[in-house]
Order: sequence, then C-alpha cells, then structure tokens
Amino acid sequence: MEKINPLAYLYHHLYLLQLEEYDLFRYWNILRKKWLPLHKRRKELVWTPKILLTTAVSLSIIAAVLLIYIRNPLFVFPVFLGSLFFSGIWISVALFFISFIDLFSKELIITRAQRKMATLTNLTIIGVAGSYGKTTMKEALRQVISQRFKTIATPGNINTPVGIARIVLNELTPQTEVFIVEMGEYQRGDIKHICSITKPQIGVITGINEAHLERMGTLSMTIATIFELAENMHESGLLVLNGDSTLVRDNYKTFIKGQNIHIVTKKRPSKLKTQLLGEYAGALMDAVEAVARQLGMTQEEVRIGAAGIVPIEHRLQPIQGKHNMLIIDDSYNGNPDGVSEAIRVLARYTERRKVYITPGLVEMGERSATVHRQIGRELAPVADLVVLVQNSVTPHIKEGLLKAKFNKKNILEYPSSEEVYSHMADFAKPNDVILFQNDWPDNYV
Amino acid sequence: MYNRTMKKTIGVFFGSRNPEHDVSIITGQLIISGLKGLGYTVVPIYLDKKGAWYIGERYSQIAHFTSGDNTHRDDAQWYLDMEYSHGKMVFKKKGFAGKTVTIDLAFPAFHGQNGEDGTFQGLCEMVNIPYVGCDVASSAVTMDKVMTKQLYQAAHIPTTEFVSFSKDEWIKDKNAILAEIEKKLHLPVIVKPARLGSSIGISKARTKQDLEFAVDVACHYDTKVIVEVCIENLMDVTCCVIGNDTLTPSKLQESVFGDDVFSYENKYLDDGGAQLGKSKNNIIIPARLDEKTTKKIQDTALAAYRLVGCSGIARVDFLYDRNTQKLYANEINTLPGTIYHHLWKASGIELPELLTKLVQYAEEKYDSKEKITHVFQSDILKHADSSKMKLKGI
Repeated sequence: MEKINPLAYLYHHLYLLQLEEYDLFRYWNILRKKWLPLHKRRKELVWTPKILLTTAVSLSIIAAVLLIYIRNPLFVFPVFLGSLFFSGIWISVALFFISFIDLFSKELIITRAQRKMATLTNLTIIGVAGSYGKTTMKEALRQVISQRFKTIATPGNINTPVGIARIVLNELTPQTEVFIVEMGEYQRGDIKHICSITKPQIGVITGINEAHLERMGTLSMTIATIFELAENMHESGLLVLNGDSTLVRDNYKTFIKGQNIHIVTKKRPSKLKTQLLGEYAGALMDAVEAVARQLGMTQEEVRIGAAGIVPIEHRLQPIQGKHNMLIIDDSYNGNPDGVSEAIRVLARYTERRKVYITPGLVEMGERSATVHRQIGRELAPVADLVVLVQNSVTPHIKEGLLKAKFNKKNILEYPSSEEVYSHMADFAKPNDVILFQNDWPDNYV
Repeated sequence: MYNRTMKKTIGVFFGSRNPEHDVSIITGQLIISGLKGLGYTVVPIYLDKKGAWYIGERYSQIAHFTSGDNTHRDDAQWYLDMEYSHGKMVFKKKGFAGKTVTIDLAFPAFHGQNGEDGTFQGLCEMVNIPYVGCDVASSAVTMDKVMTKQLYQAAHIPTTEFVSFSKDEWIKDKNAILAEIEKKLHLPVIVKPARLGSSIGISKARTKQDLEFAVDVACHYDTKVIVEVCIENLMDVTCCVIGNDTLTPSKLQESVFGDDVFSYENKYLDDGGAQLGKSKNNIIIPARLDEKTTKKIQDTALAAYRLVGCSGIARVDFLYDRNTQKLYANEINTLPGTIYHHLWKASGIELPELLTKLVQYAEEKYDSKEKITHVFQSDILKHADSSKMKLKGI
C-alpha cells in the first residue's frame, strides 16, 4: 500500500530532508538509496516552520507546472497525485528557491543592523574571538563591566553575523553603553563580516588551537580568520592577547595595525580575587582588568565585579558546604589534562583533609590503563582519602595509588554513585575539601 | 463572589524569576497532583525565568519541564481581565472569542523573590481572592533576613549577633564597615545577601581577607548584605507550623548535614536531598533532643510565627548549641520547599489532609478579612478646595 500511495512519498521525502538537516548533497545521497517509502522510520517527521514552508513551496511549484502544461481539467488531479511520486525533485527545487530567499533575508537583517549601529554613537564594542575560552571571557567581562555600565553581551553560543545582527536589532537600545560580542569563526571572512556590523574599540583574542580544524581546513586559515579581529577593529583601540597561546604569540605581529597591545600570561597573574579555581584565572583576570581600565572603571568597581565571576557549572566549581566543608564540583570534566589540573587545585589546600571522588574517565580506549594508573600516581601525594565508584577502570587508579605508596586503608570503593552519596555522612568530616571528578553518565556503566 | 460551598477552581502558581525557579516547579507539581487527588479543578500557571506567564494543562507534568524547551508560545497569550477580576482572578486568551480561565483561590508555590516575598500575595489582595499561605507583610518581612532578626530582637527571641549594611555603604567606606564587624562580631562569620531565599552568594569567612571577598560576592546578589556571627558545631533544627489563630507545630527535624551542605541545585542533593524530603541519611525526625528542649523550640517557633504575622504555613529554622543549651532563631520560610510534606507526614498529617487544611486556612483568612469594613462614607471630595477643608489642613 505504501508503495502506491503518493502522499507516502511526499511524507517520506520530507522526512529524509529533515533527517539530513536540509543539506541537499547528503539528501540526494540518501534519496538514491531510499527513494521508495518502504523503510522503517526511526523517528517521525516534525512539522517545523521550515518543513511547512518547504512543503508549501513544493506543492506550489507542482501546481504552477500543472497550470502551465495541463489544459484538460480532468487530468489535473491524477497528474498532481502522480507527480508526488517524484516529491524529492520538487522538494529540492523548492529548497533551492527558499535558500535564495533565506540568503536575501539574512542580508537584509545585517543591513538593518548596520544602519541601527550607525545611530548608536554612545556605544563601546568589545569583540571576543579565539578557538577556545570565548564564553568564559565574555561572562567575566560582563560581570565586571556591568558594575558600572549598562552592558549587553551576545547570549549563549550566538556568534555568527546574522545571530549578532538579530541581537543588535532586538536588544540594543540608545541606553546601552557596552556591547560584548562573541565572534565565531566558521569560514574565512566571518569575523571581518561581524566587524562590519559591530566594529570593536576593544578586542580580545583568547587563544588559538586546532579545535575547529575540520571546519577551517588548515591552521593558518584559523589564524588568519581569528586575526581578522585585529585587522578590522578600530586602529587606535586596545587589543588584549593571550600570551600563553603559542599560535597567538607567534603570529600577532603580522596582523596588528597600531592598536595598543596588552599581552596576558599566567606567569604574571592578576591579583584580583574571583570564585574561579582553574589555573587560567590569573591571565583571564589580567585581561578583564586591562579592558576595565580602558573603560575608565575604578579599582573598587573592578574588585566587586570580579567577586561575582563564577565558573561554568560542574567545572571546578567551588561550593561552600555546612560544617565548613568545601565541595569542588568538577563532574563535567572528563579528560586527563583536566584531571591533572584538578588534582593540582586540590593540592593547594595544604592545611585541610582532601577527599577525591571519581569513577575514572570514559572513552580512553587503549590508553585507559596507563591514564588511570597515572591519575593514581598523581593523586597519591595529594589526597587523604580516595573514593572510587567501582567499574572497569577504577582498579587501575587503585594500582597507581598503591604503587605510589598510598595507604590502602584510605581507599574506599562503592558500587554506584548513589551509594557514594548516601555514605557521604560516614566518610566526610567537617573542614574537608571534597573533589567530585567526572561523574560517569549511566550509559557507560 | 467567593463562597466556601461553591465548586472552586484552584490556580497553582509556580516558577518565576529567582534562583529557586526549579525547586518551585517541583513544589508546584506536588501541589497540583495532590489537589487533583482531592477532587479540585486545578489550573497550573507557570511563570518562566523571564517572567512570562503560561497557562495550560501540560504544565502539570513534571516530564514537561525535564525536556529542553518547555514553553509554548500559545500558552503565553493570556492577560488578566480586570473587568471581571473582582473576587476571582480571570485570565482571558487573546484573540477573537478567546477562552477564559477563572480562578477562585490561588495556591502560590513560589520560592524566593517575585512570589514568596509578598509580590504575588499583593496581586491576590488587589483582585480580592483567597490565597494559601502568608500575607503580604509577613511574606515581605521574612524574605529580608535583617528585618526578621530585628523583629526577633525587639521581641526578645534569641538570635545570633549580626551587622548589616547596603552595597553603597560598602563601596563608600569599606574600612568603617570592616571595623564595625570586627568590633561587634568575631570571626568566623557568615556573609549573606539579605533577601535571597537560596544559598547562592552565601559564604563563610575565617579571615579578614575572606570577609572582604565574601562581602564583594554577596553584593552581586543583593544591595543589602548581612554578616552574622558563626557559632561552630551547632545543630540545625527546623520546625514547621500551620494555622491562622490556632497553630499546630510539626515534630522537629534535625539536619545532620543541613539542607545546603552541597548548596543549591547540586545533583548530589537533588538525587536524594532534604529539599525534596527524600534523603533519609541527612535528616532525622524527630530531632535528637529531650522533651523539654523540643517543647521550648516548638513554642519559640509558634512565637516567631505569630510575631511576624504568618498565616497558613511557615517554617522556622533554628540553631541549637548542645553544649551551652542556647537556642538561636534563624530564618523563617513562608513557603517551604514541597510544603515540607515529609515532615508533616512524620508528624501524622498526610499530604491530602495538609492540602485540605491549607485551603481551609486560606478561606478562613479571607472570610475574616471580608468582615472588616473597607469603605467609608466621606464628603471630602465634595468639599475639596473649600476654605473649610483648608482650615482642617487638608
């Protein structure tokens, strides 16, 4: 029945389009194999505005073609139904049209945003670019700067030209004094494009690495794209650079245009106090201080602002407990470098009893045994009590601990996280520092 | 107009703009399902973190909130119809021949600002409908830790020593405030934003440097800060109270690790936290205290409840020093999380009975208020501008 029902074809082809995220190339790849609506669907079609639009345009195209070519009204309906067997073709044509409209409307939004920006003469723009650390930098800047100025920062992960243009149109007002813009790099020219809407007086480059190599192609492409910020911001502005990133340090001189350069490094950490525990905090705050000074903020404002900077949830997040216990929640951190840093953070509490709770790390593959023995060795001189959530990798941590002469009595093992939490009262003591490292999601157990 | 015998529709309001938004959803769900079980018609009304109002049956499902985007634009297209909102709260849907939802009694399930602090209660007073729990003044006073403690002091209810000040004062003269703290209190101290319900922004300071930083942190969450002396190794005891004139205290609950050992929104607590009344390991009911002390604490709880003018339900927290046998009244919570049904259950009052009582108290309070004269005959307006009035000084 499915095979001869033309509507089933339409539905099936729309479903595949949604599955392939409107990528015509991938769509045709799958269409070639699955033209007939006979395959079991794992999900169902969701009638989003975009899919409704595609459907409407597809049907309109069919209707238009019929009106032009079919003269006999009796044929119209059967031919219409028949044409649905080729839904994939109509849908593709429709999508082609829609993408034109899409492109046009995006350009329109950007033009409108540029026009609005021209009227906002009171506004200071801070551009934040880099392969990593943009969100943390943006949040830190916002906390401090908003102590004095009416500040708006681009929300969440909005960092494309159109996304930023929408924020300009919807959220900026003549009263806004500072606009912090996260600038994402997806392809060459992106950051230049963003600067054409919001031209920064202050730029911050948080660091460059291989993080998005798959979308940028080469590392030199990444470097050139991120430094578009330096090339397209105000020439007399302030540019803050992360000196701990080799790729930034080695390349910036080619791109700068006479801006004031301020290079930060963890070797010269700022003295500002925040609630951040990570080692990056010193350099981060030096950058924030430089920006705040440029804006003319007082020491007092900067100090109170800095106190409000908190880590991203579950990443070296300090939580003050009762009985003077300090919980360090690092449960979203699941890579060996992060673990080493967390252990170093724990080691700073020299006067207190240190408890380390972990189920180990997932997806370490062949390296698993080595990585976990290493964790044990690093942990041995630091922790006073190690609590293991038992699974396939924890014996390696235990092995590393014992090899480094850690007292066996100070290793506790529980079969599940729930067991650990319910026994907290037994092993935790007042004044403890307790680190939760990498909570293991259920599907790996 | 409201009367007791009619079949009523109860609006359960939850969510809102505050850090305890998520806990409020849990409280709201518990109340909704409890009231439905009692045969009431219940309308869930959800306020999101930005302050938008949503009405719809789907907000009575907890599963609805655990999936990412949980609001539907369609549900937000309601307005409060002031033409008919007298003695009832009438929401009308926008558009031609829009639907109408009429609420006869409001059950706020908010925690913290913008809901538990008298703001929502004020709305109920203005449209003149009965609502569960404390009134405007007591809700507002208990939200402010400084005001609560000042009332305690005036009524000779023991409470820990404290110093309070505004953010402006702190910025202007930090050293003077530090000196005052050192003079009046001794370290360690606990620094709190004065009007925040959750444990966000609270920290303990053992050194002067810690103290400075702790105040800076607190200044991010409120413009008013309270610094309390911290007596070590105190026992956390809680007593819940229900009633308007005749009050019923619950048994005492002792928190071994306290509700906020792991602070707010921590999954280790959420999985079995005292906040949800599930954690068996962290709380002990009844508290390990002798009969005399238990009675003393319950009586103090009742006194505190009456002092601030609570009605319906409230929870009074205490700190008790076993060595010196000294008792300190701490915060009052006018809408305890999940209405503390676990403690009431342990005290012999099951959830259906508790909800029935709370609705009754709301009705009683409303009735007695209705008996008060609100409107007076006066000829002031008639004689406005006359020289006679001027003589009277009006």
